[in-house]
Amino acid sequence: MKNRIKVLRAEKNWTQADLASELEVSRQTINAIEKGKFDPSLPLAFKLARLFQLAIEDIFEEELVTD
Amino acid sequence: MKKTLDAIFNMGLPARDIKNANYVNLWIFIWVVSMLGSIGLIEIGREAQWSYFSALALSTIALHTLIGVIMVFVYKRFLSALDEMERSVQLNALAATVGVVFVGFSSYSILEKAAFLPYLKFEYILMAMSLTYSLGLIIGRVRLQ
Repeated sequence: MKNRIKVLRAEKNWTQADLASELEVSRQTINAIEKGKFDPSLPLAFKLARLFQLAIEDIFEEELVTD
Repeated sequence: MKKTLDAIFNMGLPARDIKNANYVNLWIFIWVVSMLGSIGLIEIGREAQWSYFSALALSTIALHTLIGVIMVFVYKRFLSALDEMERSVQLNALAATVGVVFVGFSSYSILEKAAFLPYLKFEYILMAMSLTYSLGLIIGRVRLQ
């Protein structure tokens, strides 16, 4: 799943470690989410949305598979 | 190489997870000590033909089993509270371990019956499980880096 976390994080001048600490997850988890290698759970997605004061769909974008 | 080392040492977990992981490691250590202690006591008791050997053997096995059950519950609690990506890695490694044990040792037991392979020792299963689980963790972490 694509997302804007890296951009949103940069806007706030946060490192991956800062964001990880805010969300109580590992830095590796933030890195994997930013790279689109790991999709966060719904509770974590809500936490992210609350932290950036955005809707979930403003942060994450579904990758639709076309035939 | 750096990726693999990072995957092995898994630095950067939240403090809560490190504390829980240390608690799991402590119970694993107690379980291993109780296993070695039980085996040692039973062997000594059997050779010395202690009159209370049966009671001693049953007590040590009961204690070792109880410690094992506690260890499993501590691990389950660790898994429930774990960082969600690391939990996913752990569950995939566990799935791979179960798969290897089922598939590998069913084939082994058939070959053993056909006398192609020596008698299957329980230690081999424990070693295969530990190895598969460790490899599963490393591969899972490297993939998600």
